[in-house]
Amino acid sequence: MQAKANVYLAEFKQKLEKSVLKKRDSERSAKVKGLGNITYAQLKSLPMATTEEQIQDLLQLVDDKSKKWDYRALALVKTGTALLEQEEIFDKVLLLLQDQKEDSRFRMEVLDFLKQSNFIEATFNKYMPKYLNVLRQLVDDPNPVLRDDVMAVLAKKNDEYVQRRLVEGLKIPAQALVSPERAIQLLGYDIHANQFPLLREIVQNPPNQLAKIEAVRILAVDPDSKGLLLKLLKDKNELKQVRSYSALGVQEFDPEQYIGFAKDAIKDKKEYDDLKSLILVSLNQDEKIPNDSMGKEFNTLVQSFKTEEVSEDLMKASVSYRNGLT
Amino acid sequence: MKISRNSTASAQLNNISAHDTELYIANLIDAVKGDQKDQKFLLDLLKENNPAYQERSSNVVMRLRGYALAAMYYTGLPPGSLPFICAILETERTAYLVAAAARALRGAAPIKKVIPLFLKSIDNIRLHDDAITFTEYQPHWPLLENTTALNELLLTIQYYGNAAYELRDGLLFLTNNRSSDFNKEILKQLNATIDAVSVPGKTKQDCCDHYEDDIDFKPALFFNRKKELSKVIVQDQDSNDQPLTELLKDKLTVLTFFYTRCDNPLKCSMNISRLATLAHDLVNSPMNKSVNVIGITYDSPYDSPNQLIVYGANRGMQFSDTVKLLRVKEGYEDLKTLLHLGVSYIGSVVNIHRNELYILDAEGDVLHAFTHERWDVAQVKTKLEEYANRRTNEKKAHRLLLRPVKNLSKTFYSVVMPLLVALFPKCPLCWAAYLSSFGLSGLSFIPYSPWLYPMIVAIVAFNFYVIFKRAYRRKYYLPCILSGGGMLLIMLLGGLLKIHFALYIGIVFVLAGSLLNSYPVRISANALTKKSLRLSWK
Repeated sequence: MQAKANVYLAEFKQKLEKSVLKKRDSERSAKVKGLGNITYAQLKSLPMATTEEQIQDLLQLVDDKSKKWDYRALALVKTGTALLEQEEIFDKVLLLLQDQKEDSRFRMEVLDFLKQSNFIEATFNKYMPKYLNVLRQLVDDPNPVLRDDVMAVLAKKNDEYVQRRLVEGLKIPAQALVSPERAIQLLGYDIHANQFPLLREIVQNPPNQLAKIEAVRILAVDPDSKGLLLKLLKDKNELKQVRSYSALGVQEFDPEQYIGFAKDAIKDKKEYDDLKSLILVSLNQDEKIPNDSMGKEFNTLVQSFKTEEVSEDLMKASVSYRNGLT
Repeated sequence: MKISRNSTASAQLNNISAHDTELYIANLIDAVKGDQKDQKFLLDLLKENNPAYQERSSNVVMRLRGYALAAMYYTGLPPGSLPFICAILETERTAYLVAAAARALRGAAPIKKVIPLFLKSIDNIRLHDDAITFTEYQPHWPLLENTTALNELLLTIQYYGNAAYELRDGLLFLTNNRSSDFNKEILKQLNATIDAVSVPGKTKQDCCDHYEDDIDFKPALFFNRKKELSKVIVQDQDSNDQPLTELLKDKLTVLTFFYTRCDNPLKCSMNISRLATLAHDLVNSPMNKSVNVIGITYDSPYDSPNQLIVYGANRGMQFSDTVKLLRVKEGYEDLKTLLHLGVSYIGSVVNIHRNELYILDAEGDVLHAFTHERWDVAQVKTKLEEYANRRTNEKKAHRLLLRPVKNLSKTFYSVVMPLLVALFPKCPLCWAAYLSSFGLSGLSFIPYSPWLYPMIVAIVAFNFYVIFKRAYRRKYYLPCILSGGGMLLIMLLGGLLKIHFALYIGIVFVLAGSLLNSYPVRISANALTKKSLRLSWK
C-alpha cells in the first residue's frame, strides 16, 4: 500500500511540475507577444529568450527604429546566446554595428554585446573572421568613442592592422586615430610590436605629459631602455609618475644602480615621500636584494622615520621594511 | 612603388635588408610571382634569421613570410621549403601564416609528409581564424572578398584528393561532433573535402625528397668551434656562472632554445615541458648523469635566473647538475653564429624564432639537429642512445688503436733514442768518419763543435731516465743496468779517455739494454717485493 502511495505521489509531483512550467511559458509568451507596448522596465524584467518565437519577437524590437536606442539595445541583450547559434542573427548584429546612421550609443551597446558573447569562445570563434573584418573597417569610424573601443578590442588581439595604424598616428599626428597616450597604451599590449624605439623617442620629445608617462610605463619592461630609465629616475625635475615607473625598470634590469639610487634617495630630505615608499616596498618584495644587504646606514635611516615627519604611506612602507630585517 | 617583373626584382630580393620598408619587399614579391627561377629568393624570406627581419615587429615578419609563402602558389615550392611549411602547420596559430602555408602547398604536387599535419593545423587554428587576402599586401578593410585559414586548409586537402584519404575519419569527426565550431561556409567546405578524399586509391605523388633539405642549418667549421665556444659564459637558474665548454665536458648534451615571453604556447612553453619530460625519463635510464639537458633563453637580458626558475618549475623541470635553464652572459653572438640560430630581434626582444633542439658532444660539435619541426621525447632518446653507444665503441676502438701507438712510443724512447745516442759523433775522428761516409756535400753544413759533447751528455741522461722510469715501474732492472753501463763506457772511457774499444762495447750495451727494455713484461705480484725476482714473459 505504501509503495503504491509513493508511486502515485511521484506521478502527481511530475504532473504538477509540468503544469507549472507550461503555465510559466504561456505567461512569458503572453508577455512577449505584446512587445509592441512593453515598457523598458518590463523588458528589463523579462528572462532571456529561450524559444525561437521569443527571439524573433525581440529582434523585431531591435529593428524598430522608432524605439529608443537603449530599449533596442536591451532587446538585443535579451536574445541571449541566439546569435551564437544562428549565423543570420550574427550577420544582422554586425550590420547594425557597421551602420553609421544608427545612434552611436546603440552601436556602442551592440559592440559591448558582441564583446560579451566573445567570452563563449568555442562557439563565437567560428564568426571571428567576419567580426574582425568589420572591426577593422570601424578603425576609421567617425565616432571617436566607438573607434577607441574597437581599436582596444583589436589591440588586445595583437592585430597587425591596428598596430600599424597606431604607429602611423604616433609618427604623423594628422593621421592619429586616438590620442597619443591612448595609442601608446594600446600598443603596450604586445611587446613584439616594435614600439620600444618609437617610445624612447617619444620620451625625449613627448607630444604631452600623459603620453610620456604611458611611454615610460611600457618601457619599464624593456631591458634596452635601462639607461634612459636610470636617467629619468635620477632627474628630480621629472614627473613623479615617470620616476616611479622608471624605478621599476631600473630595479629589474640594473639592480646595482637601483640600490645606489635607493640609498641616496632615502637620505635625501628633499626627495618625494611617494618615491621613498615605492623604493622601500619594491626592496621589501625583491628576494634578490635582502633588506639586510642594504647596509647599516640605510636601515638605520628607515628605522628612524617618525610618523609626524613622513607621509602615512611612507610610514607604512618603512614598518613593512623593518619587519623584513632579520 | 611598382617594380617591373624581371630579373632586376630577383636581384633586389636577394639584397633586401632591415632598412627596406615592408611595402618595398612586398612589391618585390609581387614582381617575382610566377617565375620559377625566383623560388630561392622566396625561400630566403622564410628563414627566421634573415637579416631583413632585424628590428621589425613580429606581425610584420609574419606577414612578409606569409606573403612570400603565398607567392609560392604561383612559383612552385622551392627545395628546402618543406620544413618551414611543416613547422607552420604544426605549431602556428596565426591565421595569415597558416593560410599562406596551405596555399603554398597547392603550388606543388601532393606531398605525403604534410598530410597528417592538416588535421593538427585545423585544430590549432579553428579558434584563431581570421579574414585574409593575398591579393594585396596592405588591403583596405572591410574585405569584400576574403579567404580564411580554415578555408585554405580545406581547399588544399581537396586539392590532395584521395591522396589524403587517411584524413577522412578525422574530417567526419569534425562534421559530426564539432559542427558547432564551424560556420556555414566552412561546414560546406568540410563536406566538400570529405567527398574529395573519400575515394580510396593512390594519386600520383611527388616523392618530395628534394623538398626535405633543411638548407638553413650548416654546422660551423670544426676547428673554430672550441675556440668560439670557450667565449660563451652562461648563468644558470641558480645564478651560477660558468663557461659553456665546462658544462659540456665529458657528456652528451641536449640543448634547446626558448624565451619566457614567447606568446605561442605550442612553441617555447611546450618545448620546455617536453624537455622536462625528457630529463625525467633520463633519470631512470643508464644515461643518467652522462647527459646534460639544457635550455638556453634567446632573451638573456630579460630572463633573469628568477624568471628561469619559475618558468622551468611551472613546466615540470627538476633542476640538477645536468638539468638546467641558462642565460648567456657573454658570447651570445658567438653561440648564435656557431649554431646558426633561427631567431631575429627587435632590440633585445625576439620577433621570430623557430623550434630548434641540438644534440652536442663533449666538444660542442653538433651530432644532430631538430630544427623547425616539433621534436618528441622518444626521437631524442633514440638519438641519444645511438650516440652514447657510438661513443662507447669509439672509446674501445681508441684504446685498441692507441696500444700499438703507445708501444711504438715506448719503443722509440727505449730503442731509437739510445741508438741515436750511440751513433751520434762524439769526436773529430767520428765526424771525419761520417763526413767521408756521406760525402762532404751531404753533411758539410753540420760543423763539429766542442758543445756537442755536453749535448750528448744531456741526451744520454734523458735516455737513461726514460729507461729507468720504465724499469722501476716493471721492477725489472736488467735493461737499465745494461744501458747505464753502456752509457758510462761511451761517455767516460770512449768520450773522455778516447778508448775506442770501450766506445763500441758501450754502444752494444746501450742497444742491448734498449732492446730488452722494449719487450713487454708481465710483473707477478711477488715481483713487487724486494726479495722476489720472478718474472714472466707475455
